[in-house]
Amino acid sequence: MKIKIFATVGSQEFQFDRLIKALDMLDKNKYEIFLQSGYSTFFPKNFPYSKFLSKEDFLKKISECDLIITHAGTGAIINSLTANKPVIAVARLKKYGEHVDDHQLEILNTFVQKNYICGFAEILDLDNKIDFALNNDFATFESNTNNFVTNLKIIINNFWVKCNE
Amino acid sequence: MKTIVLTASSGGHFEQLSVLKKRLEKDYIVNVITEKTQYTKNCENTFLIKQINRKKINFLFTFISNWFKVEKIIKKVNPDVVISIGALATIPVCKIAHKKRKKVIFIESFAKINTPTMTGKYIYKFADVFIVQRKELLDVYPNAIYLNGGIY
Repeated sequence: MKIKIFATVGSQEFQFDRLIKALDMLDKNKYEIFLQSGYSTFFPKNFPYSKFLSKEDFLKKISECDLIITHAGTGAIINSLTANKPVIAVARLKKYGEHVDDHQLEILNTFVQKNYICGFAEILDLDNKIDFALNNDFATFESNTNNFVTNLKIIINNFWVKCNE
Repeated sequence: MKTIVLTASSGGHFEQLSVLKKRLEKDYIVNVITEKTQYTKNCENTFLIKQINRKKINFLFTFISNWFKVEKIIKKVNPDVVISIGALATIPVCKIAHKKRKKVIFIESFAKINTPTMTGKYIYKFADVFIVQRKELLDVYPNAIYLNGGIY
């Protein structure tokens, strides 16, 4: 049985050809890959891809795969963690023209430090990294959304309390 | 019911906006101002402005064009509160709302851990409430609020 991988590079107007080239070099007999390629300029020869996906299709791909390989965007990482899937994240780097700055490295580090994901900037030995991600005991991600929204509503409603005083 | 305008750039900023929109819609009238992209085309109660990138050559032209568009949108929607999650595309929304004496809440992006966004640094000067999603950023924004975690 092939390992199903969903790869996603996000929607910002920068290429992430480096990751796609690495994925294209993986053993196609071992992995079944689907890629969301965004604004990348390199197109894989060994597996199917789509430039953009609807939110619905994106979440469906996540739920159907064994592993997600993603650029280090918080949306992709969080959606994958919420679906309890193992994640490999690769940071887009400014020096390769992959983003405006290196903030994805910062994002990556916080998730890696808490053992939520497998993450790195330079792509070396992807096959081994995949093996690691599939077998590692990652920490469970806990959502803060309820708490955040409750407090945000208190702040919003407070504007009008003050007006009425 | 009060009206809120939620605004964010595309990508991760919009993802965070989507989380808030779902929760806030139950208690407020929520309109969205965001960049036009493949996946924002068909969203409800959403106004689209041009995608803007400070490194691109047409940046100034796009910024000015968006400014006029946003003025019309704010006039039409007449929100009570504007909540921005950055980045650059939301500057006209926050500035125009502030000029019209609407309340402005800015939420620094979840992705920013130790360093501020350029947009955040600017809007910090006039926002009514500035929220950071990382404790470390309180050093950079001493008057900000930290809600014990982020949007996610």
